[in-house]
Amino acid sequence: MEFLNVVVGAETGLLKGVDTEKKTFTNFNSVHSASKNQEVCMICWKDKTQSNVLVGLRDGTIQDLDTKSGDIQTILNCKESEDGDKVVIRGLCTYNSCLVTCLSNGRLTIWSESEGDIKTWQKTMETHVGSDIYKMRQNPSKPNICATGGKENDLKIIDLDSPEQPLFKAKNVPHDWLNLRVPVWVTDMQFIPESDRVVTSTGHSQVRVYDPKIQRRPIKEIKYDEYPITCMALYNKRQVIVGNTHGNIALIDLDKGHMVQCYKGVSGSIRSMECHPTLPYTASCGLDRFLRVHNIETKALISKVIKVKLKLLYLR
Amino acid sequence: MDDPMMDSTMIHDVEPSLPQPNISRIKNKQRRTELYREMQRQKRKIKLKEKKIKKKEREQLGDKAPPKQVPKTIENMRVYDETMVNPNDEETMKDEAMDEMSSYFRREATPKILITTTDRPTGKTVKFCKELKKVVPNSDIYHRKGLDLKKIIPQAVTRGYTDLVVINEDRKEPNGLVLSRLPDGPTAHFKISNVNLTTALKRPGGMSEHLPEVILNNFNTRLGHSVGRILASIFPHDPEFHGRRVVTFHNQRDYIFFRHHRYEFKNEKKVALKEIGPRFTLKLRSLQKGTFDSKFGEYEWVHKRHEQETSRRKFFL
Repeated sequence: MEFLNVVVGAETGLLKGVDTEKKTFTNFNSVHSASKNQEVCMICWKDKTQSNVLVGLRDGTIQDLDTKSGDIQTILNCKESEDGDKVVIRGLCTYNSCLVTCLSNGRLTIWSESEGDIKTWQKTMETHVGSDIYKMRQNPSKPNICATGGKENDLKIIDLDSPEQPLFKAKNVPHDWLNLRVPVWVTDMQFIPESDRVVTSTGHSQVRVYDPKIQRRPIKEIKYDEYPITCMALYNKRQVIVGNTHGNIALIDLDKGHMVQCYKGVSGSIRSMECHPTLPYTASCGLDRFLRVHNIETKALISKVIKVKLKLLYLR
Repeated sequence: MDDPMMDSTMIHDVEPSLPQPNISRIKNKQRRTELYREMQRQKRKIKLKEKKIKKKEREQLGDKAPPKQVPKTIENMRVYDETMVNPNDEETMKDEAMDEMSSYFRREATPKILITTTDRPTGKTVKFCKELKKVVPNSDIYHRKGLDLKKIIPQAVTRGYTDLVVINEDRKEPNGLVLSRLPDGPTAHFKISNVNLTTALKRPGGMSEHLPEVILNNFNTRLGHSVGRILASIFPHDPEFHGRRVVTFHNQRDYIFFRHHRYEFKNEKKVALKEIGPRFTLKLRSLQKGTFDSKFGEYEWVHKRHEQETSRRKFFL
């Protein structure tokens, strides 16, 4: 098995780097600085070199962590004074050397660094994308496109160059067989490569595929298990791995329309999941305080304890 | 026909280097059972002989004797659990200092418990609730009247309750316990079994109003720590030692045994225990992060029977 290096963020605010081969982990920040306020909400790579990580915390601060040296620098605070404690960062990405943050109350802000010796970050643009956002993700092949979604806030695809009007706003499915409105709760989304399509996972245990060119309603809907799906990772063009609040991880084939494989062993809600870009491995972490790496094809398990409830992870 | 019988008895008188005869081939039940009893008797004889020899050896060697062999039990053959908490671990201590139960341990509020049941409880469950009210100080029983738990919870929070206990009933017996820490704390769902109310105990002792001491045994893993803290946070902080009342939660093999005693120290070494109050067993089914929400809540730990129970020696608490 090749060397995998994973950065994990914990609920107490600790950032850990995990060496999955040796099954050890190191804390990037010290235990003393851990507090509930510093809970890690989002992680993303700063640039393509994958040596610096941007971390978004619960109190709104965004930190820059160098994975090689372990230095942490606070860059900015993206929460306003009127945002309460319940508002968290739900999306973090970089675009054109600018920083894009999305808070759960819908505030999408683009920050750019000012010139000069002392670098400060200033807001260049701010829009609202609805309320109660659960996730914002950036299209890895087209970095100016990003998608947002949340509770009673359906999928929206936004171009960061002109963020006022979303490029695509999804429409809810027709009423169900009792003629009741189907509730909307988008928890995670992924962009399918080499196409315009977007896959979303919902809190009502559905996986939906949207194609902006064809129609506003989802072109495909797959139901998995009875519990809310918390996170999703893309394996290849056709297959997605989802995890739900009960600890069930499954590989879902979008063309076949159902679950293909299940990965056993997780007993707590899965908070974050990522697939390795080239090797068939997937790493997942969650509330049961374990980071688990599964081999997608053989379903083998290489697990590790991290001791604190885990929130986010990022694969190198 | 008699030959096999004769052969087998003769073989038994010789030292046991030859294999035992296969008695299951004998169709006659009487003869078969006789032979079996003979076999067991011979085995016991050999065993006693070996024991005597070993005892003699040990006496002869004195200090140099090899240590006594400890019998293997399921507890000491337990599969190593990675989440066993090291008492000096800083990270875990920090984590615990920040979790939802820490407000109890920092003495911010005295616990106030709300006990309720499922809709339309029968006699045994009602009696069980009344006993629980006596055991846990500062608690109130309310009729369920068919209300939703999700609607009860905000009302309980406004009235200052810190914990919610719901006794679930099935087939006229209490079989489930939901313990929820109120403002937004974790919810533990247990399965109750073996309920013995005070009336069923032989010579039960008298209950008193003193605040009890709480003993939590064997909650070693990280999950066990959380569960132990949830159970401890129902009881008030300072026990009244002169009341000599003790409540024990003993965890063994993932089953939590609840006992309620009154103790008296006869002298330095001897303690007399008198059992008061109910006796029941709990098994953790799931631990959920927020307040009770079985559909959309996030689970910290779920007991998945077919996925996880691979070994008889693996326990979670």
